[in-house]
Amino acid sequence: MNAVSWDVLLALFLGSFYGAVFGAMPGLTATLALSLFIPFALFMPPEVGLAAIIGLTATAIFAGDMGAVMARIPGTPASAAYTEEIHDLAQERGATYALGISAVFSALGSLVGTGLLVVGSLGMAAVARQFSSFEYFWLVLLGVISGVLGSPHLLKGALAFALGMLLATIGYDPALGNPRFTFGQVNLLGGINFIVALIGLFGLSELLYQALGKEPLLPRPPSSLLRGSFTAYLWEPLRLALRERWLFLRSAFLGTFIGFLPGAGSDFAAWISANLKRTAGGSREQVVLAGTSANNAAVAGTWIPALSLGIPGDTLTAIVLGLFLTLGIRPGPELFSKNLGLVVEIYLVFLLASVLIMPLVGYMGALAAGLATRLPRKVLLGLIAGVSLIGVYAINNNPFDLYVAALLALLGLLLRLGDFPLGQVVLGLVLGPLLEQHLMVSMIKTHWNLLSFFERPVAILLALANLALVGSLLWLRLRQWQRLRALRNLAQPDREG
Amino acid sequence: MVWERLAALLGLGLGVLAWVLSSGLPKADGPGPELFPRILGTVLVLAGLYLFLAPARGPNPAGEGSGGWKAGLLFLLFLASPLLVPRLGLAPSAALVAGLATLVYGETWPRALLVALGIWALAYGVFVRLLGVPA
Repeated sequence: MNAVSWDVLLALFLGSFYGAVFGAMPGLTATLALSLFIPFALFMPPEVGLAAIIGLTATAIFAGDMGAVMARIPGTPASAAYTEEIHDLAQERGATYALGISAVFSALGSLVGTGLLVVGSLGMAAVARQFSSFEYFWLVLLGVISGVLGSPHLLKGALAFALGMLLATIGYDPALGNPRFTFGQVNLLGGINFIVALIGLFGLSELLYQALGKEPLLPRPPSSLLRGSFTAYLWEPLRLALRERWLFLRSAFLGTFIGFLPGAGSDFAAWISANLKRTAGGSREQVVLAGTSANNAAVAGTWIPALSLGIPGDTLTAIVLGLFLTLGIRPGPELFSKNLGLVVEIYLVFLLASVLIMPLVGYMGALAAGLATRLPRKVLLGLIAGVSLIGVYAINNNPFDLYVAALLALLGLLLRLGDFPLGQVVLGLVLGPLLEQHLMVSMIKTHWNLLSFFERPVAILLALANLALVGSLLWLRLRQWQRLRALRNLAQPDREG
Repeated sequence: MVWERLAALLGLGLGVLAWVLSSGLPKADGPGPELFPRILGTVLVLAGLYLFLAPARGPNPAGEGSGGWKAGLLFLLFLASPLLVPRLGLAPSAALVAGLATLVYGETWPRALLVALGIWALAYGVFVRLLGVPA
């Protein structure tokens, strides 16, 4: 396999362009873009499909800044952390400069993330070769806990996660291999197809949601704001990078680390990094720099546990792992021994996406997004409906999957209207079977001796990591709640006065 | 927030259903296939019950929409699509669903027709001819 063959490069370029257009348009998320693309990726050689996916995910997060610059509307949740600052910066110093900061620090952040991805995933994979079902159980539990406790609303996150996991219990059970919750339906014996669930939960539910009249504002076409000098787009941000090198490095490392934590992802990374600078009294440029470096570094960071352990770092890598399994590729240490070529290609594509594609295609994507915003919204939604139907059917050529997708669309709509996090349902779908499998294998192996989970040194360490994570996340939430209460108390006399 | 309560009620119901259905699963020495769904069922029941009974906080993020009938029609369209595909084939069914969905959103006939044609071309040209998906 040639890692940088023309078809890989073309896929990377087109995937990045597609991601930039989706990322720049508010309401159209990277997750929706990826879920609509997966049915195409299934028919491509893995290296070509993955190149497009990496390009898509890398540029969609960066392109999310464009909506923020243009109309104070973040294109993706990861850009929401510093929307005010980047928009004000565009008003003050020009949109070209604001987009330049976004492009340069996204690229640099992604570059640091890629370096850490290589080192981290190789290291983790080497360590994970020694792992048994006990260590994997604790690791997956770490992902579940951070996913639930990292949700904006703890109980809603728990309910969404449990729903995803419960959906994944349909089909053959891992303990005895008997059909479970299939209601005698042969089509459910293999369980709910992950990609069908994804298109139903994100694609079709988005269509229903839009039909209810929840149309987000669209940014103005960016052609006018992209008039500006090369100096403002590239040179000045690069000088800023030199000046703020320590802040940049700290943000990129922090972003990669947060991305590495299962269930966290780039949104979380951007919020924490930007908030740290904001509370320290940083300037607008510093807050934007911290947020945009962190969220793009986190994209690479989310791939570390996904590749080395088979545990997704966020919703997007959960989708990629679903694709891996559908293609018969087993992520984890085995991937490094059996498909090392594919792993190297992923590293190279990340490198290319950071250095070349993100600044160049991102810029072009902004122009294309301007044209796309002129496409009538209703036409765009009609096209998404058609592509979703084709995607669901093409996976198994089974009309039954269309029923499943329709029902999951209804579930997705209900959860979305109730402000439940849909991403946690997807994470539950991926992590649920892993958690059950490692739990049951461990238990059957030791005849239900629960102490066996604490007998191996690494298992003990991971159990303690779970405990520490629960403790620290609950402490953070408590601090948050106390601050909120203090603010409310402060606001109360003002209102009375 | 009525939607929050409805979703909580759904979670609660599914949690109870998980408990009920798992009692009919084959038994093993020690806990078997019923264990995991029961843990999830318990989480769903507890979280669903709390969210259903707790006083609603904050504004309704969904706001007030008037497109309920549109969403209903679209859902019916999605439900009808598995019946269409075996009868009409993939490309015509996808074109029909895309065109009708565009109309449901309130777009004009000519544009809906263009959307249907575009989707037909994608389904037939790329998926049926190029990728070999059965028509």
